[in-house]
Amino acid sequence: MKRLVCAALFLAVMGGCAQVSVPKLPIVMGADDPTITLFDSRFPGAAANKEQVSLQTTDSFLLQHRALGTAENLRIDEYTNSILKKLQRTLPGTPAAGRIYITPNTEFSAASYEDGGIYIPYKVLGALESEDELAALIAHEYAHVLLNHHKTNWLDTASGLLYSAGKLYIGQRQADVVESDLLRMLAINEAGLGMSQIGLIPGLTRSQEDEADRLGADLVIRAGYSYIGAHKLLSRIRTWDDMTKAQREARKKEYVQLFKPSDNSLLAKAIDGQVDKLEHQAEKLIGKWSRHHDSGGARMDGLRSYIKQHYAEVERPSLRVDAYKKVMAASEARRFFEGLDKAHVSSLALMKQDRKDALSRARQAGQTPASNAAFARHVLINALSVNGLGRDAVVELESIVSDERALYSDNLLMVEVLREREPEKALTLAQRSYDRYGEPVELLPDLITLNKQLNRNWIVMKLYGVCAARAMAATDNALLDSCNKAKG
Amino acid sequence: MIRSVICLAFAAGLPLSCLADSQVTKANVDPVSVYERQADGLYVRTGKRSVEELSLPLALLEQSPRGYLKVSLSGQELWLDSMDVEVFPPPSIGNSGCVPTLQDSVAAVSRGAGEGCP
Repeated sequence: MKRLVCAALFLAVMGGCAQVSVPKLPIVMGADDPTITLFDSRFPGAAANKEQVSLQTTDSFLLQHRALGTAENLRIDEYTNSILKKLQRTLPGTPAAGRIYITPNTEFSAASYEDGGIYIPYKVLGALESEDELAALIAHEYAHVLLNHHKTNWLDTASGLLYSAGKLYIGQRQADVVESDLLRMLAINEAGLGMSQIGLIPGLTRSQEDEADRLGADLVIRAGYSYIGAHKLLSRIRTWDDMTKAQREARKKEYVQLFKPSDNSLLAKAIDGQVDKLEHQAEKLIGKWSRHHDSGGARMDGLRSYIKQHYAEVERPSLRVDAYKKVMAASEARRFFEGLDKAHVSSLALMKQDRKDALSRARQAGQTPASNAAFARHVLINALSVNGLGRDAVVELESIVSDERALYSDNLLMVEVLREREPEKALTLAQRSYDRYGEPVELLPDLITLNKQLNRNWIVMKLYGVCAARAMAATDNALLDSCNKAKG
Repeated sequence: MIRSVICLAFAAGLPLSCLADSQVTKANVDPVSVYERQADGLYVRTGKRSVEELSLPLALLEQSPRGYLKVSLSGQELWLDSMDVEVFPPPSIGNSGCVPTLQDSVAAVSRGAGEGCP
């Protein structure tokens, strides 16, 4: 027992207690008076007509880049943020800051974070038909920000981050990666990227979703939109819920298909084990998340009763279909969406180990307005790498990691490239990635190895303390093994 | 098949107009309010009908941009509130969860190697 206490004290000292952040206590709010709207009970006072769109919501923006990142498009970004401004102007006082980003994700969903970052997949924009529906989606996500929901769920969000592509990365590093495995390694990384996105889903409770639906309805109505948009949006969410149930069933099989039955390489075995473990964890996370959310159908019932109770006599404006189509059906937007589609097809081709198609699709994506999206550049780097164009890939990689919009996984790849030839540079990049992307645990073994390579023994011991403490806190044996192996 | 393709094509360009196969299939409330469209384009409630009276499913004749649905009941045209009833097919989610690979195929891109979307 004494030995355990000593070990814990040692790890705490080596790890630096100052790095342990104490979460803020959940904000307790009084029960709302059901006879008045949620808006009136929480935000009394006249509309101040103020708006506050952040230039960049740094924390959640970087968090997104641990998965597929964001995809900037000037016209669409202006439009979506103008809707946020309209909603903000209905509030009394200075509104909480926020910003809308488009992501290259294909899910019919959206997410918001404590810093006001609201992330909407491009596929959602392609499916909606009116500005009122988009306003309802933004209002719902912004309502989570206004109601401080993320502050009450820090643990769920943090635990979600444990399920990142980095886990696969650790698995790969445990095996002896050889050149011939590059294609498969990158293919598995692509699968891991998608899984990282699941880890980014903020854990919100069912009652918080209901609250956000109600406050969201208040916001859209006060901003002059039709609540029919919110109803239609929920109906689409219900359809998505039904579809994804079927997709979840198929996932396990899809992973198995990444390996040839005859494949017995060390890497395949190591990664297969990791994928199995990750799949199990991801399933648990999805299950937990699903339990927190009412189906679209139940939410439609809740919205209907709320509207009937508080807005039965409110006049309904027409859905703003033309305004929406003017932006989303414009040639520029369509080409932007198609470019992201092509980047996904390139990623799929890589997973299916079709090198040529991966490169051809990545290059096609590069010819569209989506060419600057970090994800589009990422698939091009991968495709170049597996087609014997390593030098071009490194040029592209160097260019993107110097940009703050680079995907985290591209930073990891660059660390690998620099490791042998330029360990100082590799260490600088690894340390910067660790600091910028929320101190991902999987980078600790790299930091240990690189510092050891440069004979910085005191830092090696300090990092080992952090690594071991975090591995033990998360009961993560794979990470602990990596720490031990890195320290030697 | 051809009808579905035409319907999809219309859905892309004219989202509120492709009603050939749309039906009001279910009521969420009982009784259901019925409305009349005024000359100024506004809708006024004119009464209520029990779900039994509606004898669902009913062919959907028109969707108004204000969220009302025109149906014909015993030869009489009337409007229902879209919040009170269910319409089949429901609003589309486009090709969320999928990307077009070839002209006639789509692949799931949620994660993994990807099969065709359902």
